[in-house]
Amino acid sequence: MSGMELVAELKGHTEPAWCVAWNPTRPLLASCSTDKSVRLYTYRFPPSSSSTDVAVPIFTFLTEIPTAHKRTIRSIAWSPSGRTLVTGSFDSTVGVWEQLDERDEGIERSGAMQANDEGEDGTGEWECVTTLEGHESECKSVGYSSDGALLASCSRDKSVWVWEVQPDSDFECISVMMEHTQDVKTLAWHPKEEVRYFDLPSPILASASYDASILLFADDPDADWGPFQKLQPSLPAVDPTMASGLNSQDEQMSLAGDEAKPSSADNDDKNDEFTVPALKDPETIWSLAFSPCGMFLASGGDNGGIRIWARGLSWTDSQSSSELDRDEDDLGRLASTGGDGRILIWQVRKTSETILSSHLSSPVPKIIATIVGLQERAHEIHDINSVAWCRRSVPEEEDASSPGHARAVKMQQRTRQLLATAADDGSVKVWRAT
Amino acid sequence: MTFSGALTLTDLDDFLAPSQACILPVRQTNKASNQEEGTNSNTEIHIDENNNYYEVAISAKPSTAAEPPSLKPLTESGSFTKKSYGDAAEALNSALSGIQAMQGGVEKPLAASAQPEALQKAEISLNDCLACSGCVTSTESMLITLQSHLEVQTYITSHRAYLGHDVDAQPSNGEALVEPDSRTGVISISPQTLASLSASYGSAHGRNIPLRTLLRRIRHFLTRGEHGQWAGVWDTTFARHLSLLEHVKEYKERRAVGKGKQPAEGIRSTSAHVISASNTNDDLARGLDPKTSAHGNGLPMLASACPGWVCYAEKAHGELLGFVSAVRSSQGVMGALVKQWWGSKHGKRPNEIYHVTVMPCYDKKLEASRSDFYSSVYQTRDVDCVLTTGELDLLLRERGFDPWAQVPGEDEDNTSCPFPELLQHPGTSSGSYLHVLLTYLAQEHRNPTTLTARAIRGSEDHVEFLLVDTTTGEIIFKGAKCYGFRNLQNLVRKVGKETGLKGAAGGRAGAGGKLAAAIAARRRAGRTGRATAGGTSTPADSSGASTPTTTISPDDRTLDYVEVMACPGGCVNGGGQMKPNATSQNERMVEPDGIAGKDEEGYPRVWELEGVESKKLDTTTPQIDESMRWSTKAWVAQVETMYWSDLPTPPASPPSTDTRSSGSLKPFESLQELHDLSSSREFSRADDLAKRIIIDVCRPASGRYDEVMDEQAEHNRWEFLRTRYRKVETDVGQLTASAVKW
Repeated sequence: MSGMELVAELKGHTEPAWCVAWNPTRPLLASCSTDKSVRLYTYRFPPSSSSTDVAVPIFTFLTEIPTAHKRTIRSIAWSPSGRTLVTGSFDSTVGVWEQLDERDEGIERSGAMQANDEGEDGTGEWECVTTLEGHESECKSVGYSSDGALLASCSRDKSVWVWEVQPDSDFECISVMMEHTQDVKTLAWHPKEEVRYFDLPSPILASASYDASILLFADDPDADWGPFQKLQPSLPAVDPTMASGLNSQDEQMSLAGDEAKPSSADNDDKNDEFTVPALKDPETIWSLAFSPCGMFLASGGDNGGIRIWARGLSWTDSQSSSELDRDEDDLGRLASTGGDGRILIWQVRKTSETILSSHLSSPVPKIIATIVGLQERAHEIHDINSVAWCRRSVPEEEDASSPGHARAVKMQQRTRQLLATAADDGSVKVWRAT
Repeated sequence: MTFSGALTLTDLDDFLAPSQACILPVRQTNKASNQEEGTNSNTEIHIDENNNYYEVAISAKPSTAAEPPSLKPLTESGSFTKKSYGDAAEALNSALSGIQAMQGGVEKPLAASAQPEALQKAEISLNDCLACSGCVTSTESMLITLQSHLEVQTYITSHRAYLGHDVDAQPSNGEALVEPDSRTGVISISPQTLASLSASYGSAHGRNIPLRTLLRRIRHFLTRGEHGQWAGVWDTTFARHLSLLEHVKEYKERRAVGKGKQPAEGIRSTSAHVISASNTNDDLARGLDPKTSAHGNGLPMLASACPGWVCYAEKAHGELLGFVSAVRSSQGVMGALVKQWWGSKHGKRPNEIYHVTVMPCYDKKLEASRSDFYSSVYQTRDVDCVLTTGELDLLLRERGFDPWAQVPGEDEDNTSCPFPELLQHPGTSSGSYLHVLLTYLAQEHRNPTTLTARAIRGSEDHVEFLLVDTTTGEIIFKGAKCYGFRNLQNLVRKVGKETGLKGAAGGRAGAGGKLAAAIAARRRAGRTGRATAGGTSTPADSSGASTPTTTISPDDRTLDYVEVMACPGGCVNGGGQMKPNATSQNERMVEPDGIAGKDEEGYPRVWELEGVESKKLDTTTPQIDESMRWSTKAWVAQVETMYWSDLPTPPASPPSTDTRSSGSLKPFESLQELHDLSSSREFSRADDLAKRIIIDVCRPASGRYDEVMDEQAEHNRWEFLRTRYRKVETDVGQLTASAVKW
């Protein structure tokens, strides 16, 4: 079984590459490394293949940002607008990078990007517009909220920080949360802008830690940001239908796909070539990914297992409930990889069955995860540190009949099969799910 | 499970040096005698079951008596896989815990045939720890136990032995062995402590004890012979009065220097001075006058009464230390007052006094341990031991104190106390540093002034105050109170930006290029745009569009002063305060199935740990969560209310107990009220005594008090009322790397 093909191999980092991130609005792929640099690649589709959806893009190296970070850049993330890149470094700081626009310095250049979609507009010089300090030790992960209004970072100092993005690349710290008892490895924002909590909408942030727990944070309108739920993957080992596992080491994941819905993973019998480790011991959680619909959260742990968490019905807001009612069962694809050098792509589907067991407070739809793609030794002998689906966005405000909108929709469709991985040998590879 | 074939051990310095690791043991230079003689250089270190460390000569006889595991934590950390870079520190942590265990271990020879040599224990003093960047935070418990209520109990026992109280009353053998302690005992209690105790006792009995009454009952109790016959049981508000006076003086000095002025060499000379400072006379001889560096620093001035903030600034923001007020906190002043002034009045040398302070905060223990507050001549500290409010409560309970028992003279005005009692400086319950300054500046200004306050993000813990000339509309002062870690972060960013210090340092990732300049220009343009567009906010603009450029908008005005406190709610919510009385709370206080933790601001939070179970979240959890949090906030508000309950003139709108607000802003927002409250007879008496004391201590040649006295007197005043800060180097990586070899 393969189900995926290599599109590009991008070498350049002289040290292990830690993270890859696709720009949501521009044809840019960024990677970061222990060599303290960020490398940007652009891609375009050959004109001849424009009539078909299976077009394979051509990647070219664009530029390298020699950041002034003093240690490894562990994590990078784009703002939803695609204008800003943030870097989280082991030197404890978070760098915020924007592109110097030579045409009109200091003036907003809205709309310019879409027009330039097929071309390379990442060539302008990238500059650090601000540095966020405050973590006491290595920053492990950074990420923008779905609306781009908030930025979160987490660190070995056990804290999760939330920053408010203010005009002109200014940031204000709005919360420092120290509920984790160990190194916080990663974080993930809920993909939907607002979720109801205490009757008021709030973005939701998930963080995962060496303390073997996932915390879900929200903005309590009467107080400050704080955790409202703690998830511990070691708990329900009794119900095998709850767990889905692979014999791999740490997992890096990314969920892709369109709208989809509800609950609890199942092992696919067809894949019995993989042994399923028992997920009963507390384990470090290395990675988190929300499903595109926001109803599920996948977590990858030390023992190689992937857990999928379903959002309880009582937690949902009215909007999500209505989506639940729709009879849509495609939850999208989940990609996972890890120290075993293997990339797996799972097709995750909701079934019409529901599960209600003792540790569940409300029935959740049973879901089935099927392996649809497998690549062994994807980076030869090297550990793979990051995997990311290309998720191009279509601007909501764009007039659906405008050329820009059509271009964005087309670009989204053409790139949705693409995923990138970064590995210890410093290389970045781009794959296409077939 | 196999390791990646590419696993290599490279660039170990890539992760931040594990600051939790204590580097001191590595630098110990004690050698085994055998090694010095050169007879046997092959030794191993063994640890027995009591965690004592022994050096054993392995050539004498292969030892099987004990495993040689002592170096294991370190060598293990060399085998980390790539993914555990950050976790290597955890391995090094175990080395630290080993050191602690050594300190607590029992001396016991190892019954091995190889003549093991007991190794000297690594001695880590509080000063070593304060000089290090790391483990203060991670092993605070160790530091705190050095100053505990048990130490005070020991003093009381020893002092009773000295006084002869135990001769017939205590026949026990243990007591007879106590070495008599002749030192005279003094306890200085912070007003926040009294408020917390009063609220705690009150909530248990439904009846409040006024702070003054409580202080006198504690005094009456502790001055009795069986409880140590303490010579003084006072509150620290008069010391705070001295601190506040000096605060205003320092503000004027800084204002004369200007804004954002902070010569880099000033900081260096300060730190160099502190490191070498063991004897003030030596410093004088070398011509190193510490006050020159302080004079070199301008505004903004940042309060320094909170040791948590000072500790954080020293560790994380050394660039801002020049802006931190050099005036001693009320505890620091109280120490000098008791040991220097009061002691000399009563013929006691500093080392003949045992001075205990009671504070709302654990970090005050660290503050008292600072080298500035140590006299090498007398080998004593200004404050020998710091108890928290909770520890004082424990001490009093263990000794059978009844707060409800009336004592003679508890309502009388005249006491034996050498200082005015419980001076309630109006403003904030954390010391009113900002409000005292506001009151002074309003009085000093030639025109009438208006005070406005604006809560940032609606937070009572982050409030900006503007003092505006009512006639001209000019902003003459912009101050802020900034409490809590999160607000502190934004303050640090703001001050760094306003003073240009961050820009000068280049930012760690190199902000400061063309784009950064363009953005800065945009920000400036945006601000002036707002100032002119929204011009109705300033009186100058209302008169017409002729003068908008001369008026600086409140946003553009940089900060002059900030009252910084690390705890949200300020000192009444300090970490050492009494916890809400569980029995007085409703039943929802009982912990639910979820676990209760504390959020970053010290307020408890509850979350579920039931895995995917989320039903509770919908119904019960939010309520429990609310109840927990509000009960804590209500508790802090209650302490706040008790704090202000002894005000000579009740504030116009006294803070109510049921409100969530801390109540510190509302009652004191009018300048008139501040002025009235702080010009009572009590305060003028305090002023007079303060001046007399300064004359006593500083010995001006003129023999009278002046704002600025002669050089020697000013130096004495500096030593009496001010202190120094030093940047703690955070990057110990190089040091450990160069000190460890294999």
